[in-house]
Amino acid sequence: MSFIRCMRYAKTGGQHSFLAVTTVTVLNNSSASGNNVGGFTDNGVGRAEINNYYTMPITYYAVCASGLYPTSSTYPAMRAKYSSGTDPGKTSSSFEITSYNSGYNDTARIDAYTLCDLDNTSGDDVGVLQVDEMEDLSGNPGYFADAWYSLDMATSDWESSGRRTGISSMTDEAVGKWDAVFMFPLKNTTYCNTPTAHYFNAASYSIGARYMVGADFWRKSWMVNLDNYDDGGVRDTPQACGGIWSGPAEA
Amino acid sequence: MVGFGQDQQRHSEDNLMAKIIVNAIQTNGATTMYPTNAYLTYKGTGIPEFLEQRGLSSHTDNSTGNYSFTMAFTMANVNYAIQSRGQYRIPINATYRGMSADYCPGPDKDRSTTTFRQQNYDGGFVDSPIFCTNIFEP
Repeated sequence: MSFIRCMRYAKTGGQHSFLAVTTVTVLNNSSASGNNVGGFTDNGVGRAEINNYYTMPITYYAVCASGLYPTSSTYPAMRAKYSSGTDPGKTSSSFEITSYNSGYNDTARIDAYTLCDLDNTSGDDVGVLQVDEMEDLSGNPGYFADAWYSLDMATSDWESSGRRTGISSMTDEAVGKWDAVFMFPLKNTTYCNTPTAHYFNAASYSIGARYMVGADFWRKSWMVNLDNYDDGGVRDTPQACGGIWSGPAEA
Repeated sequence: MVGFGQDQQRHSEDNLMAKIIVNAIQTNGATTMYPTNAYLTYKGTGIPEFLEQRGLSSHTDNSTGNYSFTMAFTMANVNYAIQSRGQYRIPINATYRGMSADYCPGPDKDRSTTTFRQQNYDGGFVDSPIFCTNIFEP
């Protein structure tokens, strides 16, 4: 076993980079496995609570999740309308991922990961390792995230409690429409953005993913547009989380 | 099936890259963290193509809204996590900028240690102009 231990990681362009903390797969809402999974609780139909193995330093870490279509002989593979949402009620020790459309539904599989700056309280750059990618001893590659965000559109809160890293600002353009500006320009506009949002219900903040953010191709190297839309129109959501993954910046 | 040419591979190698070879990455507090083992940004309409990818070797357009991907390495097992988001299939318009997650890919249970599938489905299979995917080894 070999490992490297460092306070912060950065790409050769200088921007800090990030890695997933918890990665989890929930099968049939009855079991969970993955990395840094501390436990699993069935909170009811379509609702799975995951305990973090490590206590997260902040509450508003990003949870990105997507799920499989509920069991169907016709479409056994997937359908994202019934996919998992992210939980605005998460704590430093656990979070809930859910499968929801017009109601909660158990589904055969939900995959999720969390992103967080674990050393966000350090406030300095002591112990920074500049590295663009890793490879484990079996030869499998690994890549680092450039940024992550955990945005509350409903209260326009994007910066309290360490809600983002690698993002310099977020702008409220209109209802359900936000821009996230990167701290460092990315190499190009083809970066990977895998956002997840929380269902918005007029009566309450029900959990679900039907009203969630998609991957936008209206994007720039220095910012990405986040819209929260479904059949009902563009809506604010109390929780939109995502990670940005790209290659190293140009030298 | 579409593969990557030697030119693209050489271009990647020519970039100024720093890479470490270790089994695990930790914070100074000894918390183990995990990189994404592969990611892609993909155009599923017209002639499907990678817009960006790392850790993948090829893709196949199986049918409308149905794509397969081959990794450039072998996963330890099939229990890896797939996280995907796609864009609404309707072309960009001034009102919504074309975005919705209603038509986006989810994690596929039809997978092997080297290949996985992404399907874009709601009322039927549809091509998505863009979707993004992360893969995490268990």
